[in-house]
Amino acid sequence: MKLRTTFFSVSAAVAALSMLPVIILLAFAIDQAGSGYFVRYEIFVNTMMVVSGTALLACLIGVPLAIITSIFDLPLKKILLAFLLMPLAVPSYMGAFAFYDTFGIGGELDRLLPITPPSVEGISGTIVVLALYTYPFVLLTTRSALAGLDSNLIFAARTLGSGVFEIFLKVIIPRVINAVAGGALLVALYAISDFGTPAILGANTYTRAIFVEYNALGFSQAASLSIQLVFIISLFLALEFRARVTKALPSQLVAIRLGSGGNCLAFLLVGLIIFFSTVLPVIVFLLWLSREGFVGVELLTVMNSFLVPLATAVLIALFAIPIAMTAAKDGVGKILEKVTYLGFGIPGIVMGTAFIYLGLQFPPVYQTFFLLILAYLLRFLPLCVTSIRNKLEGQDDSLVNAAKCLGAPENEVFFRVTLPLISKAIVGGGVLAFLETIRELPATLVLGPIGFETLATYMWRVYEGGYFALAAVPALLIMGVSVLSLLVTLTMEDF
Amino acid sequence: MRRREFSKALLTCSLAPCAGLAQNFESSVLSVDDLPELVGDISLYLGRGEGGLYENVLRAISDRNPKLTLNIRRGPTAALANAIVAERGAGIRRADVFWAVDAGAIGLVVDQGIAEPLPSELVKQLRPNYRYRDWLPVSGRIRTLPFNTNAVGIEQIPQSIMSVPEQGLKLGWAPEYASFQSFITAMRFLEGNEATSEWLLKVNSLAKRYAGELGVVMGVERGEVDVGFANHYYTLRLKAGKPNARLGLAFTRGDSGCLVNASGVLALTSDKTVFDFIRYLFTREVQSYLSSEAFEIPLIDGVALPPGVPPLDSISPPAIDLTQLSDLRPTLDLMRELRVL
Repeated sequence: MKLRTTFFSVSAAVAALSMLPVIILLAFAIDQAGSGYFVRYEIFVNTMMVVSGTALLACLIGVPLAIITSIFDLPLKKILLAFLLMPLAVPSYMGAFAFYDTFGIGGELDRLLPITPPSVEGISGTIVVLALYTYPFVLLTTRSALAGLDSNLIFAARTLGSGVFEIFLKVIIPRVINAVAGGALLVALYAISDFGTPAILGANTYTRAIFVEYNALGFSQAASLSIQLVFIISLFLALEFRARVTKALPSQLVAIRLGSGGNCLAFLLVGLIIFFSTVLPVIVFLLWLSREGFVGVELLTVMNSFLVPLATAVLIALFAIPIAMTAAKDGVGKILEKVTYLGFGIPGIVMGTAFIYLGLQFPPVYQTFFLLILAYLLRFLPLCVTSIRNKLEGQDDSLVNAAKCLGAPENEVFFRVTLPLISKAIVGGGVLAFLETIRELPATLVLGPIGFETLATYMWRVYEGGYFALAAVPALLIMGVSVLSLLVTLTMEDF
Repeated sequence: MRRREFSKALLTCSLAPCAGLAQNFESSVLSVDDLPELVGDISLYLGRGEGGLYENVLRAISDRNPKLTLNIRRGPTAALANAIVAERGAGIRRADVFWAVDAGAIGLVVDQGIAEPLPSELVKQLRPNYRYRDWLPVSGRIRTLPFNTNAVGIEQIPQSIMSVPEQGLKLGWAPEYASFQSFITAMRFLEGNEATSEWLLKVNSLAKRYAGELGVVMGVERGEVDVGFANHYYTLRLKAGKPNARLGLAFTRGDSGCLVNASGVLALTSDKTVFDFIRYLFTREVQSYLSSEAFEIPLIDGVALPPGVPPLDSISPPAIDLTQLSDLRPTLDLMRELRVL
């Protein structure tokens, strides 16, 4: 079979698999049609409040940071930026742990200070924590739009007598508004499917409600809620596809020098955000460690947490290559690629419930690694596909064409020219998938085979038992590995 | 650290003074030394909610029996009971043993007729009113009202559970926790669905919600709420670690508010290793550990009550058979309907 045909068949097969969870949920809904449809308006309202609040706050944090780190000429800009992207590597539920423990009555700050700080919990608390871990999406999209900003435009505006504010409103904002919206949508997608943060901080959103119903013998209620959630998410995804921004190359980069006062202010803002999103959790976990002494985790748990995600990441990379190649080449391939995006939009808890139902219909796969890894694969494959496809699209065809002119057969062109060119993007995308799998919580809780424990599920267990301090070592481990992986991706790709 | 000490205690217990070992045990209580070595594979479904304490027991048993492979699936107790029933319906046999933190979830499985009858000499170890054919209560727990001693005096706490929401107290609860749900099942039996609904609605409008009952007790101690609803041992454990904690324990009289519930174990496979494994849970060492470290109430004769628990005859639990608590589904439906869940 020709390579191209093979790639196409793999794409088609994965696309078909991606529709599986939705099909299962629909089948279940039909199966349970007699027991009535379960609707809870307050869950919808809560979820929408969390989603819109998080998106707004993430923009308020992300846009100024994007401006500071791109058009201002700050010292140590690259390092600052690396730190500002760190929250991407930290699962937001760790922030939830840290904030819950720091603020409120009896929290760490309450013991230190004479006054009691307000507690971070409920819907508002969830918004604050989620925004602190999702603003990098806005930061990244806004920065890439600002990178396309031609300084000649600003000079022209200045020459015509515009002040700083006017330039900001009339020149900069219109250039970045689409990118900000694109980033905000990514934030919204993260917020709507996150399980750990609302669960820990007690905001009754869809994901939490699905988990509660699932645990309270309410399987059909969980499925009803899952279908509603997937429907809402698909609306968001449709918007997301429309909000993709195109990049333009500027003739001259903008670099505005700030005075020392301006520098201080910029550093203060950057420092505050880095402190709350990254430093605070580390301090809290170290505090737990010092208070309770070192309580290790089982080696098996650590191994599970790394080997299974590693296997998943390798599989994802293998499947992502044909999908990205097909998508870059033909129209049907593009459609297939978009279908594989379905999985990314399906929250872990929904994927988990769907696959449990599937397992009960087909006992041989019930709670096996097969279903667990399939769930990971469907959820995180798009991360790798996007990374590879972006690279393929940004590439000049001349090398491939040259190889073809010299008479290289299709296979040889792929293995000797294309593959080396996209190898960094494959590794980068694989690392992203690895990162997500390591910290995945809800699907692992529901689908894991008997005896299978990861650092993430261990943390959840000690949280439920009320033994927060035992979560310190796994939390620091996950953070450490995540930051390392992020550094790898950052050095692989130009950002 | 305690874990290691306990493992050592289990391993070398015969003569060495065990931590928390009851003084006046009778010879009828088995020691781990009397039990055969466990060999083979056991899949245990373990209801979550007890933090690390049950884990310590299991680890000690594994350490003592190197030829035993113990696979553990952990989850909320009701979810595991549901999974066991659903698995059996689909022809999947995964669990050999189910150790639940709550008798209601045990009853849910027993009612399906899928629990294996247990050897009679195992059943006879328990105090007469705790003997069942298909399952064994491992340890008892009493429903209590933990209160903040700075905020309220014990005389302000009503002796009837039904009037607790009428006193203008700040309340804390964990309605998703299995023991709480069994307490509501008991309330349904004793007071009827209507009174229970009213009570739930009132508390729901007043109470602060926690993820678990240790959280409730911690909230009471911190002063976030005045009074909570929780099993007795959370308060005792917290006070053991923090003797000056501002925590008191109140008991209601003769109603679901002082229900005596039990964690329980049942076998889903009729197998010698499985029964021997269950025997371990009823040894002097394990029962003493559960009493002295976990502050749970031993249900076999010859093991002392945990420190801080009033004598059992001084509290007046309602007349409810533990098997009645298996009527969990209507409780959950009621709580769902009232939007408490």
